Amino acid sequence: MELLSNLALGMETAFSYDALLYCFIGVSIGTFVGALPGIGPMVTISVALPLTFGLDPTVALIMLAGIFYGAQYGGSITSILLNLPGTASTAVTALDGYPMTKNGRAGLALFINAVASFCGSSLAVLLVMGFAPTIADFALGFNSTEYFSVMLLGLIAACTMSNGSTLKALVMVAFGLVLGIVGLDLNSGVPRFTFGFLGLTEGVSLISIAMGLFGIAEIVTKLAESKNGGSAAEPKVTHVPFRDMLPKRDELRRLWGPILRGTGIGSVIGALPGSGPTVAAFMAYAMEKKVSRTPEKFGTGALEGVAAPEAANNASVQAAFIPTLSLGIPGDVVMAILLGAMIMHGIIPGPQFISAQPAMFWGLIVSFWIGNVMLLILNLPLIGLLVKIITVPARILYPVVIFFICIGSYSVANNVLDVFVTLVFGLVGYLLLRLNYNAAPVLLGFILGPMMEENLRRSLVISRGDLTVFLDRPVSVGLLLVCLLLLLMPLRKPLMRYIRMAGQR
Amino acid sequence: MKHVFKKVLAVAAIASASFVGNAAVAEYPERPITMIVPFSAGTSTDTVSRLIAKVMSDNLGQPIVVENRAGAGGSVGTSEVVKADPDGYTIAMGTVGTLAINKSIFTDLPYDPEADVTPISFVGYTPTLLVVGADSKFQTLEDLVAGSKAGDGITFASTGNGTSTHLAGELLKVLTGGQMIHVPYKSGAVGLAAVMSGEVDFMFNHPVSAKKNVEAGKLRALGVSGAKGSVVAPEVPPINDSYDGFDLIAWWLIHGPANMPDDVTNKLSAAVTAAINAGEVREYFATSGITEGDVPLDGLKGFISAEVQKWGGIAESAKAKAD
Repeated sequence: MELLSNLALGMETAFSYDALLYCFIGVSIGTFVGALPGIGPMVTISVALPLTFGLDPTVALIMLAGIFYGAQYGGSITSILLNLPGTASTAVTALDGYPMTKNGRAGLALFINAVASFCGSSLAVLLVMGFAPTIADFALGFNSTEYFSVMLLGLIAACTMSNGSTLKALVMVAFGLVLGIVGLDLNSGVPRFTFGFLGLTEGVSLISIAMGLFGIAEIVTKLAESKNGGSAAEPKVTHVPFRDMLPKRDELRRLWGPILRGTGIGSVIGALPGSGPTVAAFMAYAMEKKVSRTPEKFGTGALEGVAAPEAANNASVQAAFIPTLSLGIPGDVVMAILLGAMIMHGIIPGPQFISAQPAMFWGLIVSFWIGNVMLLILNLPLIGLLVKIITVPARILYPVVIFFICIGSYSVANNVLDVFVTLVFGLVGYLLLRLNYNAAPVLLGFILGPMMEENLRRSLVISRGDLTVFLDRPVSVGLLLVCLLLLLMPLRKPLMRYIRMAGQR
Repeated sequence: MKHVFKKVLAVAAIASASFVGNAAVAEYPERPITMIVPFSAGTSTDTVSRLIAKVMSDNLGQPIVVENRAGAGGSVGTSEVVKADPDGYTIAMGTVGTLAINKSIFTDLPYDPEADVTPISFVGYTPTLLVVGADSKFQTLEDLVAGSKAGDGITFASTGNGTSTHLAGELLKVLTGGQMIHVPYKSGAVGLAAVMSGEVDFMFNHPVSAKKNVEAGKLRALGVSGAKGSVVAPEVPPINDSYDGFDLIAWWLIHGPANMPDDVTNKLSAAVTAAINAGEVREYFATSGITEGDVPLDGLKGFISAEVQKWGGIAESAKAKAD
């Protein structure tokens, strides 16, 4: 019953006029900047932060948080319609979302995006409400050995992601791993592959890679196609009746599994400090492909390929509030900024935050729900309007997109070098497309590589070089066994055939 | 709304006028000031900077734009500032890292914190807390030191190679003669989580986030890095009481490029002092355990030199070199 009284307290806070207004402002801004390629929630929140100084701290947080999860909704819109991920975490959505657009089902893809995002967020919020301290303790139980094993699992799953050649996928993962090495080595402080650029000491920016490989490369490809006499694959949707937007009954039934599994993966990954929505989305996608009866449909416009990663990245964003609010440990930069905002308002999150500031904690949680409902209401009617983006002539659309990509890559670290890096990756991405390589595994290799290295070396430093440390802890052992299983799976069929033949003999 | 627009126009007009030349110093500041923060948004340095910048701009009547230029332990942003015109329109938030430690850690640091900088004002400082996990077998600093001399030794987390939290651990190692293995983390928060879970034995952490977890029984504080103790945790003994010569603080100091005109420096310095005394900043300092700066303007050069010396000595004995 305590939960009910807490909820009542939260509603009292979150349904106040100010809270509703700023929640709406937050999620609207979030959707908008999420949809702009390259400009993400991090930059927006740090710019909006000083504007909230005059506000009540709870209201300020409600708005800033709204920008964060709102951006996850918006980021997928351009992924689906134009194959231009608005944020790195929505690059996975483009894998099946864009083919759906090409098949003339853009409306449905956007609908699934909105609904899966909504379900993922809402379910994850339930988890935050009921079990925040428990989940925080669970996440604390993850040492570097477990982190390493999770990351290894993610990497192996990534190789099974793209369609076609596994070898090509492996090459792309390796390329991502190499890119991840650039920058100051955490352990020794030695710069690796920075070529003397101070701007590269923090590594290549994720936004630059994502925007270059996907955004710029896509535009260059389109331009090359139109030069060669028109584009046959150009989607020709101008009008989406509401009926076409809704999934058919059997399609609806197929969506529940991916959404629930995506939410589960997203919630776990999100609660682990330092992993983030991109990893969650990739893992959910890989998992869906593994459990699917029709894995060959992935990459050609499978509904599951949109639903699962969308549920996952939104769930992870909500779950990321767990370590931040219940331990004062921010999982990523955006969370660190939100934490900074709370401290500026004189509130220091820690284990007692929930009991010391119940109105704020529960108000914030209830506002997540309200915000997600607002996002759903905001996004569904917009679908009809949004699909018209496809019909904007290339000569207007593409310069605008490139403009935003440049601003976006610059704004991450206020570094001009990043803009050039983006353009270089645009060319690389174009070459990869021409050679029929799928660039998505590059992102995963790039994100997971440094984390794996960091945690592997840390585990070994702490264990004084003893490799058995990975087999000492049950969670780590379990994860490593799953990795092994995944690696052995392709051998299953030939093995069975061999056994059968041996039996006949 | 209308008068805001007028203000914007006015700012634009003044800005373009000053472009034409004849920027009479008496009217400083006549256009927006850029404050470079050499660390990313969300760090404690960023939080302090944004708050101070906001109050300062109210006092100076010109907006102060905070720009995050993170990278290489703050060297990227700081080298940007020392290259700027010394006209008072580009200033930076310096730290114990950018203005002291980096000089001995980076062999080709693109600036010299003693020669290439005009100090403007000492904002404030905070000692750090030495914390262990709640389940740790170490109850006191003596336990910890004894533990470091037994068996495999102990481990400590830091916010990265060559940072103040790393060097603090190294200094403890040197002063006590124990075996303490450095385990760097990407951020202080993640390192703190590792201490809580018991993966790493101890860590020096800013008192704010550590203190809350100490109160909740997730961490135990065994010592304070500053000889004067910590305002937010007065009950924790300074490490200096047991090991003489352990006196480390993290500090923030606003500075510009070298050769700034005196009147501009004085005006800015007065504005910072006024900001530190403003109610909201005082309140923030109190909750975050920051003590306001106590070195006058003419003593700042000496303060920086002394800090460079002190950390240089620690880095030397720890053989911590980054590039």
